[in-house]
Amino acid sequence: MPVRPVLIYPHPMLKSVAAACEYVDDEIRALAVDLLETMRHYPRTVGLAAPQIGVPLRLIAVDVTGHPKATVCHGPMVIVNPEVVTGEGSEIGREGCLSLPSITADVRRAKRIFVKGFTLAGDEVSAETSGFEARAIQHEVDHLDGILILDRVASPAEVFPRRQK
Amino acid sequence: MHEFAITAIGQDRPGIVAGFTEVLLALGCNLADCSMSLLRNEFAMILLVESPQEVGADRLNTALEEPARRFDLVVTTREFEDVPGPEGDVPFVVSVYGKDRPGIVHAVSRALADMDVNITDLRSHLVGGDLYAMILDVAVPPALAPEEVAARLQAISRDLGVSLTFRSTEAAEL
Ligand SMILES: [Zn+2]
Repeated sequence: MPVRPVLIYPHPMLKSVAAACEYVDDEIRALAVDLLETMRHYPRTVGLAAPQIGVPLRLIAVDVTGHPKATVCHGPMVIVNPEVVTGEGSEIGREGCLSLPSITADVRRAKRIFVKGFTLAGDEVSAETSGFEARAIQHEVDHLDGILILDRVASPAEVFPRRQK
Repeated sequence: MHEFAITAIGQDRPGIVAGFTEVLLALGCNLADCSMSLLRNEFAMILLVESPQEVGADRLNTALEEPARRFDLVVTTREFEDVPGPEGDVPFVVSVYGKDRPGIVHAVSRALADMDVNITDLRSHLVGGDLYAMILDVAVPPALAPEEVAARLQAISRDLGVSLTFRSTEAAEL
């Protein structure tokens, strides 16, 4: 089942801390395929974390290819056990989340980050990125820690109801 | 169930929200959407409330008389029907700022209205003497080219001698 249903808050998995992947095996690789396909299935979707499709493991997919706000782009990425070290600068940007479909919110994120983790071949990988791609990675890594955009807003004026399409 | 939009405005002081929600809770009403704002010392709130079938406009108005008197507020209630808004509108934010002069809000809002662009939020402040700053959230209908809206607004800002930016706030899904 490649495209999997996306969990919607208040599903408890969205507020739980996901477990590290112990090995990168075929099961993880199959999960990565589903994560990417599910991400691509939804319009304007540039990232998805494994807990959002019901798997409480530390695995994220991000792809900002072709997005007008992307200034740095590493293409489609799947990162196993990602860790983010935030760098200089921060900026506010509006984010939507498939798991909180009725709102968008303005969230402050680090402008530059350093991310490390493992590839689907099990090799260590690290990258430096900034702007929109860095925002997407930070949003997805938050999902692995049970943190949603509503946990990040600084004031009520930063949450915007939206119409369901 | 009835749905009411309640507004209240008056001089700010602690306890207004608690006083109102206490009355609404006692009536068995459920608060849906609320927005509250403080401009200088004037406090205003809009509450969308769901009331039980037996609580109609008369009972609601009677019950709200007490907190309205106690806090010296102007209160209105209106029963409404939840109609879905238009779909497919694209969100943009407009910032307008410059030396304060009469007519900025009117010129910008008139142009938006003429293009059928809806204003969904607006905040403006007179800051630091004569710097006027206004931020608007607007919804551009799908049939209208955003470039056209941008060009029209830029022309107006040139006439007014103020700065204006128009940018997309469509959020990526993550
Ligand atoms: Zn999300």
